[in-house]
Amino acid sequence: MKLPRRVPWAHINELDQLCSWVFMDEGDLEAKRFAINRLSAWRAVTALPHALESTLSILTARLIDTSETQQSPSWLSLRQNYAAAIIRMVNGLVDPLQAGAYARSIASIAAQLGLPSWLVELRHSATHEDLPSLEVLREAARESLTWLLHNYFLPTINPSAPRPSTAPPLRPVTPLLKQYKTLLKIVTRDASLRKQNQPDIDAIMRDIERWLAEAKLAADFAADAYGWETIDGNDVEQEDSREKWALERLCDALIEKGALVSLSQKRRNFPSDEFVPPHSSLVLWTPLLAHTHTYHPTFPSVLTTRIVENLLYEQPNSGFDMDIVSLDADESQNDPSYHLALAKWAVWVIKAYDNGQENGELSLRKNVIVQLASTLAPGKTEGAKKIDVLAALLGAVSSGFTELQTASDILLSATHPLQPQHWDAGDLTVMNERLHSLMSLDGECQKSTNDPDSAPTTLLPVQGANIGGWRLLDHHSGWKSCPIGIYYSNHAMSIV
Amino acid sequence: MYPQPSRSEPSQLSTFKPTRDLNVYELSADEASATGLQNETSVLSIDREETLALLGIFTLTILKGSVSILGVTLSASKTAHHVFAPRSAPIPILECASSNLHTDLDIYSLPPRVRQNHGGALVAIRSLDTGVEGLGRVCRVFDGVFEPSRWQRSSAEVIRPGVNLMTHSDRDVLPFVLPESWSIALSAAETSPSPIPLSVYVVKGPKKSGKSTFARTLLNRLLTRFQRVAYLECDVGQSEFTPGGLVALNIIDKPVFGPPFTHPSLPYRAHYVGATSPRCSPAHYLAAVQALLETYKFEIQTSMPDDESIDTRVTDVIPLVVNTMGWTKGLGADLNAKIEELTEATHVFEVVGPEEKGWPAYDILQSAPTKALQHTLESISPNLANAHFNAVDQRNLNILSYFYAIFPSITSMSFPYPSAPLRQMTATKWETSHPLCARYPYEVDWSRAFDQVILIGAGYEDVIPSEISNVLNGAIISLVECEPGTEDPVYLDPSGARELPYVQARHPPVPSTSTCHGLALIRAISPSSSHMHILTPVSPTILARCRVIVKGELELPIWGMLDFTDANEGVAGVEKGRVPYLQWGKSEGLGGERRRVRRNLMRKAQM
Repeated sequence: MKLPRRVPWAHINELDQLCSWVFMDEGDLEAKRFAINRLSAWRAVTALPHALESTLSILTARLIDTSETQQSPSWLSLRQNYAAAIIRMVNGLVDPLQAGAYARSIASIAAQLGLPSWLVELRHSATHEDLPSLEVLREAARESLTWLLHNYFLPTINPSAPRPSTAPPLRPVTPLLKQYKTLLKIVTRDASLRKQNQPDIDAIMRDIERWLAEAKLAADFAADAYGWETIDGNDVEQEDSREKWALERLCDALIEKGALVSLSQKRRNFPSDEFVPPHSSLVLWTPLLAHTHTYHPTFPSVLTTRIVENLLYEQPNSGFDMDIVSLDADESQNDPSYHLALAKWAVWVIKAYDNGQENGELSLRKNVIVQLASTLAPGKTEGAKKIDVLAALLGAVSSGFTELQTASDILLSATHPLQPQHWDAGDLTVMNERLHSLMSLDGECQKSTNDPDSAPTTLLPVQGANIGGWRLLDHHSGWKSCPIGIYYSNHAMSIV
Repeated sequence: MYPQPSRSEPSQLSTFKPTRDLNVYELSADEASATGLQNETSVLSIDREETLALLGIFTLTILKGSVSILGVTLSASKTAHHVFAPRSAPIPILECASSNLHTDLDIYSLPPRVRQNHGGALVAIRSLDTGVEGLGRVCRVFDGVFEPSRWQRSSAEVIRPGVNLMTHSDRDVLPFVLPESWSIALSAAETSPSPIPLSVYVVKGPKKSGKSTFARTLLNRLLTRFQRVAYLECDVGQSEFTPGGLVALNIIDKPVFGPPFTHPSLPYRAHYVGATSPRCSPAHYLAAVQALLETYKFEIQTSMPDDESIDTRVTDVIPLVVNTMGWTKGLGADLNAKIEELTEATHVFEVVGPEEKGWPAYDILQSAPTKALQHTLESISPNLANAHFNAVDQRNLNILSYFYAIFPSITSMSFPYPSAPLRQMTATKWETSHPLCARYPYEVDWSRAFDQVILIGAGYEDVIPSEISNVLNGAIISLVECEPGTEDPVYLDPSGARELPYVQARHPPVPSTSTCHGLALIRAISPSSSHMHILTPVSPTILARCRVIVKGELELPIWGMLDFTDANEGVAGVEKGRVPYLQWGKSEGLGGERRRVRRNLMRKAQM
């Protein structure tokens, strides 16, 4: 269930009205005063969206600047007013987008947001250097308001209108992975070179971490492209979907040939009893996997899910090119050794990271089995390709867990059709009983829910409740239930 | 050579193997009445060394011997303790503490088939119907927390309807564990010399260290020696007995077994701070704490010994437990140090948490040596905190629990100004068949009911009088009674006023001459008349005395604005897009989020 968000306006029209007060006529000081008063009231209702907080402080600074009534103005306090408003606006826009473990430069985030870079510069000098001149600050206030109009007000009031700023494309992660691989190859071949190369390895791992942060931000823009409805930065759940999107992009790159699975067919699989990736690959990739897992607890689950999806389905042609997925679909569909190697990685990840504690409801292991089960289920097997790999994967994942093993045995063995059931005279009785119990259930539900007249407010004694201006309403009052914020009187419903 | 993350293996919680008529007896109606127990009771015989982990809501009566639960040892008595054990908190483990072989003063005349052969303790378990589980319908995060999770349903054993024996721990069910250092400190606190000195116990420590859990355990332990214990809540974010935003003084006379949302209580005296942190109003916060400490010293600490009581516990002294807030850095540390000084603590318990980067340890700041006995406690292991339920969820649930609770009724006779009776006033029932939006509200004529409307919060002084009704609509407010003559009225003659009695930048009522009786929700304000609709669990007998309303930063959780009975996921028949103050779907614009602060970014220096 998706929770709505709390907003200070009863209806979006109120935001529209506020917007016109702010932007319609720059010289209309009365309208600006209305806007400031309304925003100040909204601030006391609920925490404001950052864009509105910024609007309030910029407007306040401008109103002081433009009021003629002011005598002997303190220009310093005016500059401080402007400066604080702009510093806080830039910080507030950028801070939530520091999505990774390591700090990114404010300028790079601002560029992704389409925020003029000179505002970022101004933020820096206003914070750490000389307070900028009044002229520059006035211009910054004007430009900030314009940015807010196009990037917050208009899209919020008209959700269907296209977003003006186009995000720069996300840079591909594959080159980073290649660089990582090259470095690791050097140090694994000759351990004496490790010390010398360690700073570079650390740097590249940080860079991949930073790429994930960029990807999380890009997820917002990608959401439009995909038509997702879930991405919204307001709560944890939605934060998760951004993180998931970013991790999926990384995993897709890892799954590509040449990363986790070696390009050379000979190096992919060795005949051994154990269902594990080759030693040479493990040595290369486990440091990166462990590092990513440290900052992204859901990484193992995303990786296994992505691998299994890769095994289960034809690669979809999304038509959305993030410059990451460059799989040659036809080739990869028919490459058993590649698939087998991927399956082994999935098993390794499960063995390494499944402690049954994380990733919400399901443990990694169960998750993979559920995923596989829907395809391997009786009657569905004909359509699926790579059945040998999937069966091997299922076997390896469930081995050692009796319950899971039994379940997967059933899955793998059940190729014969279901026994036709024979009609029994008693069946009709059973069906009737079930029908009855279902019907009676329905009746009970109706009783308990669809009866607004019985709404109690309190079981406390009502004596003395009608004193000092307090009167407890009851079913005689004609009051009917309505959303919080709507005043229901006998005559009409009305929103304040 | 490859990093293998540590695995936390599920551990065994219950060694008790329930076997009918061997260690579990379902009493017949005759047996129950002959024993002096209610119908539908099961008697369990717990042997020494046996553990028994229970999930659910039940009453626990010790029939023979003594049993330890949640760090407290309960002896045989006529008391039926209410136990609330949801999955969202560490669940209680029952253990036999002693079997009382020598005392033949059996309180209960047990049926022969139960009495024979047992060397352990005997307890009676009965399902308890409070309606608290209905809060899971209101706030879906807590749906079904009193039942085993999907993964444990097969292994759990039903003792009584709604009471499950849990065999193993997993990520959904974690046991209550009393750390060694806690146990030592608790014992030290109990063995204070005779004659009974006036004791004030201060508990402090950072967030998530188990501070509140320790304070609750200490409270329960003290209740085995004292008839009543006072509890001063200074942690306005994670309050034990009240919703957040209140500094409250509660009188407790029965041990509380369960997380805070299962025992919302009317305070003896309280003051409204209005936010989940005193960050914006530290002086008012301190004044509130100081006023409550004075109340404690003058009205509560000592009373006439109750000679007629058969209670063997101390009746003429009421010790005080002070729970401080978990904000232990910067200004928070200063505030806590001041509070500690004001309390004149005799015992100080400090939970030492993982030290936060960049902040000096607390001891460095603390200069004045006190006479109080100092105890240092280890913090609870983070593995024992349930990851599914975060602090915000818990706080929201506390607020919702308060608004859905039915509190013991009080008459105005028993409730002279300004204090509640000197006894525990904990809710025992919750009414969750209807959402808040479907409850009959009070219709309040504010021109007759209120002398003053006050806003407290950073920047709230900018709210101009003509906007005040926009601010109050849908707001949570506190109902405050002030001593006559202590607050300047906004209008000399408030009757017939056209505007709400509000002026900008008023200070909150002075704690020493006011008291907050509770919170209320202004569910709507009439646009055309001087009426508003209000929901509140505060007793109707004292509503008329609350002439001042104060709005702080506390908000109604979104869950409380929704309608769990509306089949179309709207609210009270109003479709999603038309519900005021709520917006479904993603926000389109940039900067549409509330400001979020990241404090764990790694800078260049840390890389």
